[in-house]
Amino acid sequence: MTPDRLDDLLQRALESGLIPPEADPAERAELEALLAAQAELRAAREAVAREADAAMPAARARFQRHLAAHRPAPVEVRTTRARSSLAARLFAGRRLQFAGSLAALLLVALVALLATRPFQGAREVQALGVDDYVQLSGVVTESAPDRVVISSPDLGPVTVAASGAAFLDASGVAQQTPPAPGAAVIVTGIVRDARKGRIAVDGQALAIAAVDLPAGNHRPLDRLRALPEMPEGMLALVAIGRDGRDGRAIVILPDGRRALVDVDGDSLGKVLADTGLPLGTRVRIADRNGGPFALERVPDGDDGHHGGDDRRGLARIAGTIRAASPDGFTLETATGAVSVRVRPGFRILPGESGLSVAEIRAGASLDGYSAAVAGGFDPRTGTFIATVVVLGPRP
Amino acid sequence: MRETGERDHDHPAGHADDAELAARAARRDPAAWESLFERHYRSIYAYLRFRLANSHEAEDLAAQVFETAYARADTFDYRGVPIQAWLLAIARNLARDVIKKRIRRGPSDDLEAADLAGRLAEADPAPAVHLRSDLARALAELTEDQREVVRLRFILDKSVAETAILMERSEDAVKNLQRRALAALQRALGGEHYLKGGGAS
Repeated sequence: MTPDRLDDLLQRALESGLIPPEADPAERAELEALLAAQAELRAAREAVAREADAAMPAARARFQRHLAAHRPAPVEVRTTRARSSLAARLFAGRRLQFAGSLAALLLVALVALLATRPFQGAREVQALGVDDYVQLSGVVTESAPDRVVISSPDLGPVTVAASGAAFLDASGVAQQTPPAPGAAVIVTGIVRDARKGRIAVDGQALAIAAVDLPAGNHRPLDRLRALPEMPEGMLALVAIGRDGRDGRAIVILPDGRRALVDVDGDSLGKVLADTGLPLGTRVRIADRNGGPFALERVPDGDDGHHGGDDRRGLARIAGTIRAASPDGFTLETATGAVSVRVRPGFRILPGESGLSVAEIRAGASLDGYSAAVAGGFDPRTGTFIATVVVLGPRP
Repeated sequence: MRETGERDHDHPAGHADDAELAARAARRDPAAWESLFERHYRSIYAYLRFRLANSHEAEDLAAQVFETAYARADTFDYRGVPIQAWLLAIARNLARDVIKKRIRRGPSDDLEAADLAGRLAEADPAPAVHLRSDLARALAELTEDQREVVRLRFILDKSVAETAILMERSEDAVKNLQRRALAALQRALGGEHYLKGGGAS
């Protein structure tokens, strides 16, 4: 038995899974021991593979955000080219006086400054990331109990895995069948694929939209970089990251443009807590010193599009959490106790509770905290199906 | 734990795909980077998981590998070297940085996940991965070269030839290292064969 011979025998055994027949008894015993050690590693490898699979959605979301944040802005490039071309024309003609050219250039620069100030101009900006909690609207194009495809005005086709989703009517009451093709719906769920053209959501609820949300024009989105002149608009989509700290919203501005706005999780959580379903809500956009924007809900009296929550498709209840368990909790509301059942992957946002997302995930007791819950009523079980919970302070 | 397309570079077509993907990645084509992520995240994570103390650290560092690679995209010179080798080199350097910081912080921190995982399993009531503490201790007794060959050959499922390229060793040296590594592992695990003094080395 030489080391070189044993090296080769082992390699062949690893490749084939069988000990080579020419191995003598001593070599065979040694090879069996070495293969046993490899088996120990194989078991550990499988455990790590499962761990990698579990970590991948969040990692993919982080990387997609990184790509989106560091992606060159195509419109800026195009804009620069277009305006350079005009400047070049001004100079190349040799018919204008220098002062005239300079004045024209200054005018172009001024127009460019004014035109690009509110927006970065990136056309292919990404509204969603994997593992986001999202609320979006659209029209059903395909419908089956386990899979619904909707056409979103901002995102195009969105596939919704519906086998675990609640189907709700316009007043937020659970139904047996998914919404039919042609129905305008609100979808809430967790984003599983955020790639353009392949967007997929693990649906928590599909609710018939009680009011018509503005149809999109399928124009590309602009990412808002500075406050527009009229910093108000209507929410058309909201998404909150896994950690609850960051969010994104599509806001339809008064001039009809649809802006993608990076918003802080706290302000978006407050709008969610106030409305349950914020789509269609009028909001003011506030600047936070270069950080993500903050959203402030325009009070109902000023809201030209919506009045009460009963017209929104998803229901909203508020109260104090009691007897929390992994499956749900009891919510003491002004009209009595409501049994709340949570959907797989539902989100709890810390809101004004003072808790962190990490503490909530670690199992911090939520008993006694006030909460606003969005979802729908299931008349068969008498429970409220929650898709998102926003905590408030402990009374 | 073989990834889809992991061994594409074994074949001429795989070379062409890798080269084309590398060219697109160098231009920071987002679709190319998403493809790279889907192909290689699991193996990068696994590699780091067997070096570092816990799953959160491995998760964070695996994400940093892709972010760093994206930032350096225009410096990557594809000349037949698998993209994964480039990503693994970044992972190795980032892990080394983390380990060096641990060393500077004090003697209580250990170098390798293999060693740390045993204590992790005892300290954390619900670690995401339960590396057996005896296996963790056994891995800690290997040399760094032996651990590297274990990671590449038996965790990432690299061939002897690929491992030789990644470790800048000959194939014979890799075969010898893998046998010594498995023998040391079996010995540390208390294998009967080795308790009797067996094992050529």
